[in-house]
Amino acid sequence: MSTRRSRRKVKPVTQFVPMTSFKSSTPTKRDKSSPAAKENRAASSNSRQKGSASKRAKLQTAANGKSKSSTSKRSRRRRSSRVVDDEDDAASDDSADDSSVEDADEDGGSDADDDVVASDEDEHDVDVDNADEDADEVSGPRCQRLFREFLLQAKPQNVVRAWLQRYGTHDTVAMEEVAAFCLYSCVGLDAEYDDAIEGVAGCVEDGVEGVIESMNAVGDAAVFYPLVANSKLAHLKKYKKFGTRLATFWATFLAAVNAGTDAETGHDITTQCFSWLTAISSAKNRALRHTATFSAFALAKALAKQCAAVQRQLSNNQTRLKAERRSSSNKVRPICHRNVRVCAHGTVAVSPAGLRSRMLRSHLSHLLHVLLPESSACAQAG
Amino acid sequence: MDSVFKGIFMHRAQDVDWHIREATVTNFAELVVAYKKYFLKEKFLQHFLHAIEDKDTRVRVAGIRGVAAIYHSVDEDEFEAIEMFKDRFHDKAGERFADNAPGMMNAMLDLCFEVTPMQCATFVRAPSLNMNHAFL
Repeated sequence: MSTRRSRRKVKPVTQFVPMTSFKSSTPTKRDKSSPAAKENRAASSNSRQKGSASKRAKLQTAANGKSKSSTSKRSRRRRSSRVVDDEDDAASDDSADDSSVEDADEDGGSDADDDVVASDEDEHDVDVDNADEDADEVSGPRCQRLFREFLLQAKPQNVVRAWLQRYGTHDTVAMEEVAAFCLYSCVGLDAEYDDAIEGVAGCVEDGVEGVIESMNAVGDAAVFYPLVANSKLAHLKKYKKFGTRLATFWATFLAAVNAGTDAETGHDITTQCFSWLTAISSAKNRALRHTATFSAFALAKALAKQCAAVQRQLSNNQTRLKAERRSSSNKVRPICHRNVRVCAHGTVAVSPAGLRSRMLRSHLSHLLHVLLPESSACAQAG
Repeated sequence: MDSVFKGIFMHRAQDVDWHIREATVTNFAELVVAYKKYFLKEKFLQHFLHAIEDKDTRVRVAGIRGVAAIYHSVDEDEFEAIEMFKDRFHDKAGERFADNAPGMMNAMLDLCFEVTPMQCATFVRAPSLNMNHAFL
C-alpha cells in the first residue's frame, strides 16, 4: 500500500499531458521492454542493492516479463473499451496515464522489494516523459493546456493559480491559452476543430474573428458540445456538470486575476476576455454561440457580484465616515475658534448660541469671566 | 456591463435557437439579481416582457422564473422603483395562466409567491383569463 501511495505521488494530478506529447511519450513507456531499458533497470538496481544484486535482478526480470504481457493485454483492452469511436485525445491521455499508473501497480504487485526499485524507475520514466512533454509543448498544441487542466482538475483555483504563474513568465502565451480555452470550451477537444483553432496564436492581437470563420467553415458537426453533452455517455463523462464548472472557473478566474495582478492588467485581461466572448457569441456555429453566451454571462455575473460587494463596502464606509465626522464635530466645536473671537476693541467675544453643549457653554463663560472680566458683557451680548 | 448587455444580450435574446434564448434570459435575470443597483431599471427589465411572449415555451417559462427571482431579491423600496414595469408585466403575466405549456403553471405559482395577494389578484383578473373562480 505504501508503494502505491508513493507512486501516485510521482504523477501529480496537476500534470498536463498534451496530445502530441502523449503520442511521443507512449513509446518511452513501452520502451521498458526494450533491451536498453532492461540494462538501465538492471544497472540501477545493481547500484542500489549491492548485496543481493543478482538474485533481485533475476526476480525483477521475471516479474517484469510476467507483468508486461499481462499489462499490455489489459491496457489494450482498456484502451479499446474506453476509446470508443472517440477521436478525442484527452480520453486517450487519461487512459494512457491510468494504464501507466496501473502498470506500475501491477509491476509492484509481485514483490515488495521490487516495488521500491520499480517506483524509483517509474519516477525516472515520468521525469523523462515530463521532459519530452516540455519539449513537445513548444511545437504541439500548447494552447490546449488551460482547457485540459480545467477538464482534468477538480479545483479551478489550482488551474487559475498555475495560469497566473505562466502569465507572469510569458503573458502572450498565457493569453493564447485563454483564447483557446474560450474556443475549446465551446466545442470540446474535438479533433475536427484542432486545425481551425491552431490559428489562435495570432488572435491575441488581431481578435478571434479569423479563428471563428475557420471554425464556421468546419460546420456544426458537434451536436453534443460540452455544455449540452449527455454525461451519461462514456466518452462524454469528462464533461459532467460542465456548465457549473465553467461558471465557477470564470468566477475564480476573475477573482484571481483581480487579486493577483495590478488593476490595469486585471482590467485589460477582463476586457480582452469579454471582447473574445462577444465575438464568439455571434458565430454561425450553435455550439460557439451558446457556450460563449453562457461564459460571457458567467464572467459578467462574477464581475457584477464584485461590483455590488465593492459598492456595499463603499456605502458602509461612507456611512461610517459621516458618523465619525458628526461625532468628532460635536467634540471639536466647543474648542473651535469659531465660537470665540477677539473683538475689535480687544475684548474676547463669545457666541454661546453656537455652542451645543450648555454645560460647556456655561463653563466657558465662567472661565472667561474669571480670566477676562471685561469680556463678560460682550459674552452676554453675544 | 453595458457592453455585455448591448453586445450579447440584445442579440442573443433574439437568437433562432431556443437553447440560446433561454440561457440568455435565465442568465440575464441572475445578472440583474447580482447587480440590482445597475440593472434594476425599466430599460433593462422591459426585455422580460418580450421573453414571456416568446414563441417557445421554455423561453417563456425562463422569463417568468427570472422575474420571480428578481422579485424575490428586491426589497420594498426597490420594488416601488420598478412600478411601471410591474404594472405592464402583471398585465401580460396574467395571460400566462391560460398557457397550458409544461412548467408554466409552476412558474406562475412561483411568481405568485413573490408578490402580495393584492398584486396576485391582478393576474387573476386579467381580461383573457376565465378562471377567477379557481382563486377567489
